[in-house]
Formats: sequence, structure tokens, C-alpha cells
Amino acid sequence: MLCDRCGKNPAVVHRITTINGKKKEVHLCKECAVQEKGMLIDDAFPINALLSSLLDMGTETPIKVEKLETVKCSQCGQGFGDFKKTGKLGCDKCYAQFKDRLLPLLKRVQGNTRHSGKLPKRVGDGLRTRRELERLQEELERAVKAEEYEKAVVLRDRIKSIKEGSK
Amino acid sequence: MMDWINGDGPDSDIVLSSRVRLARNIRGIPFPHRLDGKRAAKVVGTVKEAIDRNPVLAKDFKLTVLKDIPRLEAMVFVENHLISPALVERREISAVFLRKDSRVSIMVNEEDHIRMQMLLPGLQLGECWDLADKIDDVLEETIDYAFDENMGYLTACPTNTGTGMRASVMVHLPALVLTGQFNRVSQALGQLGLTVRGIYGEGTEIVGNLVQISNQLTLGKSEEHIIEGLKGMTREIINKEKQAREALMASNRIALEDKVGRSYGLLTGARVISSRELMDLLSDVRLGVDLKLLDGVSRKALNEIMLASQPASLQKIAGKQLSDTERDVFRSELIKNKLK
Repeated sequence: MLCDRCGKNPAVVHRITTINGKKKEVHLCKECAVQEKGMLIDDAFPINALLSSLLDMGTETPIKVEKLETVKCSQCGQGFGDFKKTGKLGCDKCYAQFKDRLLPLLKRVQGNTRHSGKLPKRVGDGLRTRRELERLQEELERAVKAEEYEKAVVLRDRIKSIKEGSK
Repeated sequence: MMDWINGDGPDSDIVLSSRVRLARNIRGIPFPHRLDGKRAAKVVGTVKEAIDRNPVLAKDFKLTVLKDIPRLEAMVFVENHLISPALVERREISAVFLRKDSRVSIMVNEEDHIRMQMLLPGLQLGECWDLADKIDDVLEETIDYAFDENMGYLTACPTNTGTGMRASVMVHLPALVLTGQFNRVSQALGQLGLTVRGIYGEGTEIVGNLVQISNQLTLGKSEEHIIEGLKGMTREIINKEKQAREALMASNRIALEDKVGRSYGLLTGARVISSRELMDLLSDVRLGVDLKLLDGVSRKALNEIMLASQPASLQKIAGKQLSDTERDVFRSELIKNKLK
């Protein structure tokens, strides 16, 4: 959707007002929104604010937090404070560098901290096998619970053969 | 042109299109928001190399560097859902590899280094994922992805980390809205971890009874699991919408025919028409086509009108800049031509 006013830039600010049952919509780009009265906006995306407030929900003392914020990533140079402002990490290394603070955040945002989907081919067969074993183990537990003993036997044998094969 | 426009995919009386997007980054290189022009160009080069090394991909994909095309042209891509608005915002450094059939676009230097999008007609989420998986495999042969054993594919924003996958369907739910059930359905979807939004993206109002439903979480579940979940819920929604349509036809057929007929009359007779009004009218007429209350109008024509009457596309067709009012007039002419 393009801006109602200039018709050039994408509309990023949307205002819908209802006065006496009459609905009025205004869609503006950032530049035009700044000029329009009453449409002035905060620069930050709400998601960033959300993320950083989630980060602050931790139990760490403020002193520790402050210290961490001055630490910069050794690969890209972005500090943790920048992440709190923008909601974006600087590079892949940031994940390792700020892991202690990111894991609780991931848990809150995603409800999980462990990837169980696709693995790139480059990761070793070891990880692939470990994941397969975990999956079979879970299936085995489910089968036992559901009293599907025939299925459980098949699964148990598969697990055994994989374990022996990888020795 | 995008083939979902033809309106003949599976369940396309309710599901306009299915989409799967994968976010990927290159190991050891800062994410796009921390790249200067030179390093960003290198990322484009890396992706190009990965595509060129595969003869099939090399033949099918065409590279467009965003800063080399006029802004209007880029906005037409956005309006056709081939690239994201964020890619245009970064047009100093961004690029897109677009497959000839427009079903696949590989965006470079958006929020992440690589964002590949599959867009298929109707309900085809599994097919979208299979295609994404294959293209991802090819790119991976050359590109060393940023990946962590536990956290999965690493992305600029932690809300995409894990699978890096966002799957979505665009659905048309006029009967659920008319019968006042939509809010309940939408709430239920939210509780099930799905996001419901308008077609213009996050935070936008629902226009023309068109809704995008997508997965919220990307970490913890496998891609197949996420796809199955969304597919199952979409099937439920299709059934609910169908029931609501049948109920309307049984109890209020005349009123429904009246609504469809009036909207068709406005569409073809109006001389000045805003995009918001158009979307509402299109929804009524689309419902009329689905319920066979209208003869001689194709879904394809309605989809074409929907895309072509957006601001950038309209101005491209007109071949000149148009003011608000001029656009509303030109839009009505375009509609008349398409519905002739």
C-alpha cells in the first residue's frame, strides 16, 4: 500500500478514526506522517520494545546487565545494548556471545530453546544420528504409554541397531 | 505472471495462495543491517554463485538489483507479493532472484542475508515446503549457513530463529465475517499459536475479507510439523467458511444475490472508485462467483483487478504519475476493461 499523501513511498503509519459513526482512514509513509499533525511516531518498532522488555524481566541485577551491555561481539562489534534498541543481533557469533541472555528470551518468545527441524548437510552425521535416536526414543515412550507393544518392539530394535552401528 | 492469479489451485474458492518463506544467513558475515555497500554486494555475489552452479536454477532465475530499477517498479513487485516492503526499504544493498514462473523469489539483504519465498496457488503448503527444502539444499551446497546445533538457523531477529520458516495462507472469508463468526475464529487461531492479519502485513486492518494466517513460532517444532498444523487449521477454516456460505444461501439467498448484484453494479458502473471500496466490492463479487450467483465473471479477472488497481501498478499501467483522484478514476476504467 502506498502513502495517501505522496503516493510514492510505502505507507507505514495507519490511523483509523471513527467520529459520529463515520470511519476515516489515513495511510501515510514515514516522511508524510512526520508532517501530519498528530501522527508523529516513535522510531522504534514495537517488536524491539517488546523484546527488550522481555529481556528485562530476568532476575539479574541491574549492575550485571549494565556490564553486559558494554560487551561487544568479537566478530561484528555490535553490543548487546544495540540489540535491546533494535531487536536485531549483529551476526551469527552474537548468538554464542550473548547466549546466556538470549536463551531465556528465546524461551519466552518461542516457548522453546531447541531446534528440532531441518539440519544443514554440513553438520556431522553424529548430530543427525543423535537427533534420530531422540526422535525414536520419544516415539517408543508414546508407544509404550499407548500399550502398542508390537510397535514398541520394532522401535526398540531400531534404536538398538542404530546404537550398535554408531559404536 | 504469478499463476495463483488464475484462481484454479486446490480449494481456491477460499484459499487464494499458500506461501512458505525461509530465512537463512551466511556464517561469519554480519547481518545486512550491519553491512556496507561493498560487503552487501559480496553477499549478493555469493548467492549468485550458488545459483549459477546449479544448471537448472541458473536457467530459471533472473537477478534484479533493487537500486538499478525505478522505485515504482520495485513497488509493483511488492504489490504482487513477489518481494517484501522491507527489501525496498533496503534498496541500496538489496537484490532479488526471481524464478521465471514467479513462484519462487530469493531475496538478498532483506532483514537476513537470504529470504526465499515460495508462492503457490490455492492450498499447497506441503508443496511450498518441498520446493523450499529443495532450493535450500542447492544453496547449501555452496553457502555455509549460520547454524547452531541447539538454536537452529540463526537470524537477525530471534523471532525467526530455529527453522527460519514462516508459512502462510491467504484466505477469503466473507461468510464468516457476514455471520459474525470471524472474531471468534480469529481468537481461537491466536490461542493455537497462529497469527491472523490483513493482506498488507503486520498491524494492518483486514480489508476485503482477505486474511493471512501464519505460524507464530519458529523454534522447537520441525518444518513438517508446523506445515501440518497450519494445513489442518486451514482445512478447519475452509469447512467453517463453507458451512457459513451454505447457511447464508439457505436462509438469505435473496439478500445475498442482492448484495452480490449491487456490488457488481457498482464495480462496473462507478466512475470514481477508491482502493478500499474496490476491495469490499471485489469480495462480494468473488463470493458471488464462488456460489455461482454470477455468470461470466472469472476469478482470474477479479485477481487481476485486485493486483492491477494498487497504486504503483496502476501508475505503471498508466505510464505516468497519477494523483489520488486521478487514480480513482483510472481504476474504474481499468475495472471496466477487465470485466468486459
